[in-house]
Amino acid sequence: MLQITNLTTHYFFGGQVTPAARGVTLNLPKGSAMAIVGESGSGKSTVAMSVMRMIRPPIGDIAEGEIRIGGTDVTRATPRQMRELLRTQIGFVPQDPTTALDPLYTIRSQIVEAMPHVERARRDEVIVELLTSLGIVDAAARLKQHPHQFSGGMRQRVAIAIALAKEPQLLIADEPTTALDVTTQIGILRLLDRLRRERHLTTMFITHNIRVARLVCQDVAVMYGGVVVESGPLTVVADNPSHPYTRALLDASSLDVGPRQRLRAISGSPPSLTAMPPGCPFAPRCPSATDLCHQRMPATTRRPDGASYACWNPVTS
Amino acid sequence: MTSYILNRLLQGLIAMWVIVTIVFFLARLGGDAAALLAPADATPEQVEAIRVSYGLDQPVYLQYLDYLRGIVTLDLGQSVSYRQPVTDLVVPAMLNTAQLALTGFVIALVVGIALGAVAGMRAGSRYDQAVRALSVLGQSVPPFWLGMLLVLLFSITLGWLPAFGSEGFTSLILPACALAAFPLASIARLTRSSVLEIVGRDQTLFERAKGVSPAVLVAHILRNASLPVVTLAGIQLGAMFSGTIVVENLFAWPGVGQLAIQAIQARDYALIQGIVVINTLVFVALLFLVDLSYGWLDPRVRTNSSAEPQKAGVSA
Repeated sequence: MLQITNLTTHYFFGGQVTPAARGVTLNLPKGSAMAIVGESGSGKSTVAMSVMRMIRPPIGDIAEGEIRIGGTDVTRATPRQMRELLRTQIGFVPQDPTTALDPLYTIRSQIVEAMPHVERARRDEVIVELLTSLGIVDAAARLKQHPHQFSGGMRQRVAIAIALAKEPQLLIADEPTTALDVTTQIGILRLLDRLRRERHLTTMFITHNIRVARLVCQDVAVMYGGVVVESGPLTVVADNPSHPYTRALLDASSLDVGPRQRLRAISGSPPSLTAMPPGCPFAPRCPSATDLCHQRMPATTRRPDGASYACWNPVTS
Repeated sequence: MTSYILNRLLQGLIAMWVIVTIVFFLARLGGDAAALLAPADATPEQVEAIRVSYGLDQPVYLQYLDYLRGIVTLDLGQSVSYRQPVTDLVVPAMLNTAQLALTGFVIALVVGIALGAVAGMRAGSRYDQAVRALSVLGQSVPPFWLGMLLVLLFSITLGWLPAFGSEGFTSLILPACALAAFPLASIARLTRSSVLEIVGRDQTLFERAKGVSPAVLVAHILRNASLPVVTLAGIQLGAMFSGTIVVENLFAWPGVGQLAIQAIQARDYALIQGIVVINTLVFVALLFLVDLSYGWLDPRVRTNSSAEPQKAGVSA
């Protein structure tokens, strides 16, 4: 359904060309869910925004590679074709529904904009049905309300309704629970998982929390410094990571840390996009880095269990 | 919405009452009002006659009530220099000023928003740079000088438009343009920065991700960007009503500005007071209209003045 091949996306900061994603290759078969995991600046959102062609000059541009949705190559689509694709195929769930919904429009008019194929007379009926299935009580009475009259969790359900109103093939969720209360997070995650199964949605789930990803996704791609460092089936990668960065990420979010024990943080900070090292981007923070790591980017190695990694000195368990 | 309108109306009336009260008591602070009203060479008997005819021999609270009653019935007393009721002088002048100010305002609003919106959407382009340079120019050029330049070009050199007077629509164009320059530049600048901010917001990204047509996208951006512009435009319109003095005198336009200058030169106290009261009335009414359009544009303003919105039902 979604095939990203060798994607490189640049940002243009102050006349400088800055690579935010480099040689990213991902494959999401129809109905599958893949988590893109990484820290801020890892390039995970850049990949999602590239798929929707939201990065355009003067901000940045796709420099290389191919993004296929169904039969269409997004990187070659005209603006008109891209709008058509966004209107019919791609649903987007935003990070923070409070800033993503337009405060001045009723939720009805905001949903209607995203469902051009439904005939006028049936629209309200379809919207009410959709909102009800997403867990919004008394939806018919709330159509004329504005976003500020909804709670955070309910707003995210409205945003999901907008993403689903077009009956998309692909759902892109950009950290959809980060801005929500912990108690509402689980509800939204379960909802996304249910929707994927019921509607055979191919789902791209952007998150910085590999444990959150487990509730929704079967596959994972771990990104660091604009590069996919490890990918494969989520349980395989999470139980038996090969890349030191994946290992460190799992350790950092480990739940079996007691009081007065030190948290296992990753020392140092992610590399700046403007000063990317020539070799593996994780080398400056990596405990097992050698001279080779600092000089050359490792190629991708496939493991027999379906995972693959890009590392000169993989972790052995 | 109804409670919001009533709320704003009440606020406007209170503001109106406070201002006319201040005007009344300021007049009494200025010493003997009868002596002020009388011509400089009046005899004590004439001053006394004025005192009686204006009710200035009455206790202050009676004068105040009389004054308030006068304002409500639009009876603002008698002009000494014109020997006519103040209302008959101020109202037609105000209508002329309104014609000039509103024409200028429409020019400023339409052109300012159009220039600013396109500049904001194409930030950094040549067009944007040109608009920014023009707005700095528009905000720096004084209206009287711009007015003279306009007369020089369009009346004297080209002979297209009359240089002064109030003969039909053509004589309105030059003074309206001279008056519009400053608010136009301010509105263009604010629209530009406001549009730029909305374009960068998550809501615009989310709207784009819906795959809507450019027209729908622009409508969302403009409506959101218009909120601060409406506030500024209201203030500018108020300022244009009082800012016409210079332009009216330059173009011999028979508005309130000219009347005010003549009233001050003639020390026509009742007339000055009447002009202040009518100006206040217009200003408060304009701000009320701005508040109304704000409530119409922004649903958050409408609902916040009434009851709490109903709580969302939760089920997962």
